[in-house]
Amino acid sequence: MAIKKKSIFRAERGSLIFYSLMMIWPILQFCVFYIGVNFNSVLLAFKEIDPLDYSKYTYTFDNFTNWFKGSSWLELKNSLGVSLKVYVISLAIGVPLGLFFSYYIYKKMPLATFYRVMLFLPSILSSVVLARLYQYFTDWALPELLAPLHIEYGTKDVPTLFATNSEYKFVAVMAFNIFVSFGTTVLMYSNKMSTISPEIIESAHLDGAGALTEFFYVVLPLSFSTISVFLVTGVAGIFTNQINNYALFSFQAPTEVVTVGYLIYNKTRHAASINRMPDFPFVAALAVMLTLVAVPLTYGVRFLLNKFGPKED
Amino acid sequence: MRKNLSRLLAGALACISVLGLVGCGGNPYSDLDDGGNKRPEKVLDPSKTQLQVVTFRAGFGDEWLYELEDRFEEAYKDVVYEDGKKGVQVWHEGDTKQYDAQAVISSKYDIFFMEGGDYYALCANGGALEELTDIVTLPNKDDNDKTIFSKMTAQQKSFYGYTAVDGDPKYYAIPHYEGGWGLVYNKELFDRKGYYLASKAGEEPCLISSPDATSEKGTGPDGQTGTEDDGLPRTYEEFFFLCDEIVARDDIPFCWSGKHAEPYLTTMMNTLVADYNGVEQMTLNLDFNGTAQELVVMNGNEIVYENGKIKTETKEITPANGYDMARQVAKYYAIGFLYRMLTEKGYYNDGAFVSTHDHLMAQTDFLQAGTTFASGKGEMAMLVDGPWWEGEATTTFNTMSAQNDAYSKKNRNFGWMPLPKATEEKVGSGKVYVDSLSAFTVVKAGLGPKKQAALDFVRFSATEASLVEFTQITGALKSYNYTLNEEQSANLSPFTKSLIRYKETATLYVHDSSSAFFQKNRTSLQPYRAYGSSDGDGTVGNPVIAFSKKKHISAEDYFVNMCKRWKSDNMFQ
Amino acid sequence: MASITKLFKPRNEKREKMSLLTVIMCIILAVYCIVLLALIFWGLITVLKHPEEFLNGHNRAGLPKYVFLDKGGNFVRAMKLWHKTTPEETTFVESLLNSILYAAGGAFINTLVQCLTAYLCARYKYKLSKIVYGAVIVAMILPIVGSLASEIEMAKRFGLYDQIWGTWIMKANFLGLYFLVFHEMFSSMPMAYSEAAKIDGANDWSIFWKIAFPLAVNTFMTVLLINFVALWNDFQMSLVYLPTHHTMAECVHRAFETTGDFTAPPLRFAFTFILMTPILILFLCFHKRLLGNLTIGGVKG
Repeated sequence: MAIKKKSIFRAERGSLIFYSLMMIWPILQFCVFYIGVNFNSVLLAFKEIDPLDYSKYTYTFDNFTNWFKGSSWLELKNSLGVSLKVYVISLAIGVPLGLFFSYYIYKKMPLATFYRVMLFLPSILSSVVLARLYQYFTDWALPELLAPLHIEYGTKDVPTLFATNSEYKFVAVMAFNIFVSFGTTVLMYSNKMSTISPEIIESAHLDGAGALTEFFYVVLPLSFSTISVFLVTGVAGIFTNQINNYALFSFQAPTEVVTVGYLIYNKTRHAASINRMPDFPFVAALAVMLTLVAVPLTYGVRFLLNKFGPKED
Repeated sequence: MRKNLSRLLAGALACISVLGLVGCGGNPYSDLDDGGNKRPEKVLDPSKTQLQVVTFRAGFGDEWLYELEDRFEEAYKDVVYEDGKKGVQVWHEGDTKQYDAQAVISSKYDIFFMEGGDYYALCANGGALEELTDIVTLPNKDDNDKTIFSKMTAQQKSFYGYTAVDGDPKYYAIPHYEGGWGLVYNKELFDRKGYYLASKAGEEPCLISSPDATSEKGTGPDGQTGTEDDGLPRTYEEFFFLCDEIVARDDIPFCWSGKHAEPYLTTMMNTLVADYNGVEQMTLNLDFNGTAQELVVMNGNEIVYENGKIKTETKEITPANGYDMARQVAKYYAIGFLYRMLTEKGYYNDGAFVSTHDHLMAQTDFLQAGTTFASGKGEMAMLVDGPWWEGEATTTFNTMSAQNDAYSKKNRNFGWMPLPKATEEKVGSGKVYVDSLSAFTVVKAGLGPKKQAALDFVRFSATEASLVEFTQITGALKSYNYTLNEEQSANLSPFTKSLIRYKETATLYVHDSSSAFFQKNRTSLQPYRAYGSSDGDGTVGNPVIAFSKKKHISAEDYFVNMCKRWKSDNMFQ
Repeated sequence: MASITKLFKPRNEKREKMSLLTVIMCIILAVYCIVLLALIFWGLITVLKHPEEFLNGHNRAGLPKYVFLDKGGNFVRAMKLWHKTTPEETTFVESLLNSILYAAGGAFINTLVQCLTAYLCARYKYKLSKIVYGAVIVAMILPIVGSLASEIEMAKRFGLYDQIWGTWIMKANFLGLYFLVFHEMFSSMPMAYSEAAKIDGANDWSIFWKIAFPLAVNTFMTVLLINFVALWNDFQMSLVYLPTHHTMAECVHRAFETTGDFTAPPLRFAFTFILMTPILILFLCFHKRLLGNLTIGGVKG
């Protein structure tokens, strides 16, 4: 008995040692590059770094208040507006389309396998590839293709979608983003839908449910746990989504398509490229403010989805 | 997996065969440069001192730097800089990075040919740059004992002489090249179709080809007959009359890059402002310190007119009321000029707003319009670009001249256009040549034994021979006072000769200042930002965007909004 | 032939009747596919044109009048001009190596750490496991916006900035969706396997390496592939963290911004096709794995 207890104790101690050793790196990495980075982000937001000596700095609230002055405020206001517009459009068009496509694939309708591959294709190609193909196609090829049909496009009166004086740049960018957004979500949704028991579907059919009824009252509720993941993370995406602006426009995206995510990335990239540390705190301050907005918003949406969303049971 | 691969290969082969059937026959197009090493025979020689150079690789290219390196290496092949080594090798790379002090210190380069750099920030961070005072002020044995200092303008001497706490100006950089955005005009087209204004026969302007015209060309913007600008539009009114005539004859007045429409046109607009203001009044925009002569008088949001003309006032300007500089009448007129450029039908090329239509495409369109290379109708009268444009367009020139030598650089006749004046009163008031590139050369500090080699190279780059060679290769100008004799000018293109002649009679305005105010507000004072205004829907835009929209704001409203913005937006520190 | 028919319903499976909804979806999906394939096809025919044909000949939409494959056409020219896209003149081979190291190394380390940590959390019921699991959930739903500036500062402080191995270290974390995938998988693995192994005298490492991991290897490879593809295609993060070690994706992005020899779209698209080809081949070979059955149960906690 004593020997057995000893060996159990030794085995458990061995497991604990193994566990501890294996966990060292993940925990350390998490502490430094998640907790440390985010804590540093908050500290950075309050710093004013001496442009002549980067090791010298003072603490100030200016980085926060300056965002609400002059052209910085206009820039921020504009980009917040664009970000919200992007979210609403993605929610209104992208999510329903993705769900319908997933349903089509789940039901193994004609060419479902082929469509699944095609929907996923934009996710495996680099954004710079598709973005530039799309941009150059609309700038150069589309005018030539539409000319014989006497459709005016790419002329002085009807500029191309991405033309500097085009009023449809936002439409063009959003169309592209929705176009390339289906890959992972459709994959996840259709995989989740495929776990629905066929008996439930059959029983719904026996009760006289058509395709729409089946979709809204059976498939969607049973897939809701997966859908809610993307809905919740989508809320945080309001402030991080760059809508492929960098792939389309590099650092010179026109005002009407600049989102907050792009604004932050672009300013950070620029400061990093010229090694201008004093510019970092200004961006960090915006990041902190937006995080403070995004956190309750995300939890709020999650709470609402949990409370009012369909239940799988 | 094998099945998929074989399917892929079969598909690819099928595509290529189909396309091969479609596109048969020999290659009708010219060979292309594959970007190979321009000095493949040059290998690193460890017995020589090695210098690393970086150049801002943009419009001016780097062919001039290859030649400079070759000549320097030859001239200094017997000089000992480091123990056990004789001679020197210079290597360069090119990028478009902006180097601040930290980047200079940590980079591998010894010498930096910069463009758009912040000279004062570099100097303020002590320890990044090597002092160049001696090579600037002492006689240069490679240059018949001339000094670099003697070739600089007063503004340059003042700007580059950095005064630190102890008060003596020290030089940490020397000027590099210069240039700004303006109008390149197609002289061949102007000559062939008579796009010149006649000396005034009546009230209205007319072309020399008009039956109503006198046979003589008008005076041009300099107000004098018998000069190079004879026949060119003297005023904005004449200029747009000319543009209308160009359109009526199925040609296109302007060509510019759609991708760079905003910065190019805004900077060109700034050139118009400088041309109206003159150097002294223009410099007020950089330091907000002096007496502003012609500020538009406004009553709230309304511009005040007197006797049919805009009422202006004189005012003392300080940083506290510097926002009033937005009311310079030159800006009012220049905004009006841009408004007309962008809103008149048929005034510009098809690619003017296409986002992927870059400056090289614009140059190609400009060069090929009206030739056998273009399928469209109409020739292009003017290109919005800078003095470096011919160097950038070398590939197009070569492609065209391979078919017909008449299309080569030396056989095409283009000119740097003296800009028209906003009002009749300003005709003959002189012209300004704007340098907005902020290009200079610096040496990294702490090079040790290589330091003298670097200093010698920099000094060598500013010799008369090097300046002349730069112009001969790039077709553009270095920012110094120097001349080319007839022999040296023989192979210059007509455009470069026109540019040189223009500069000889112009005053140089450099968009840079040593004032503390300018250093703090560099970004806000760049034309692209400074001319931003609300376009009527609440966003701060650029005049180019504002006026190119279908429903656009008027020039006057834009100007008023710009003045309001300067005052209310806390633009300056 | 047999594989083509797999695109359609297998003969022995009953196909459901198409409703109006599914007909509409079919049409929309067909249009989607046509647009996507048309874009790629147009890119391909553009690459096969001589730059002069595209620009001067104004043949922008049509098939090439002359298929430009002389001396390798735009493809070989792109590889030769690759070094002109970056200030450091990174050659094609160098950027290919950088991409492989960045993508393969980063993907492998990230997948391994996620897999290992998920295994530990799923199989070892210590308090820390619950904390780690909770941390993953919190990190997924707690939106931290714009920590890039801080991350760059930290990377510089630890000497990880501008080092490919530095990016591996920054990627070696357990956060992310795939932790949950692995966790669910390891949780559902019967304890009997490991208990039996213990009785046979196996230690914890042997149990993981010889029993648990082989069962998870399919999922591991799937996640590894997905991560590899994502990192191969990424140019924004490599632009920031690897300013002098340019990856292929970054060079392709720069090719559209660089002037001089890159004006002509045919050449620029040659860059994109060179970048795209390895991934397309990978996708064709492993599309079943990539589109495999990864599921997540939901975010609870």
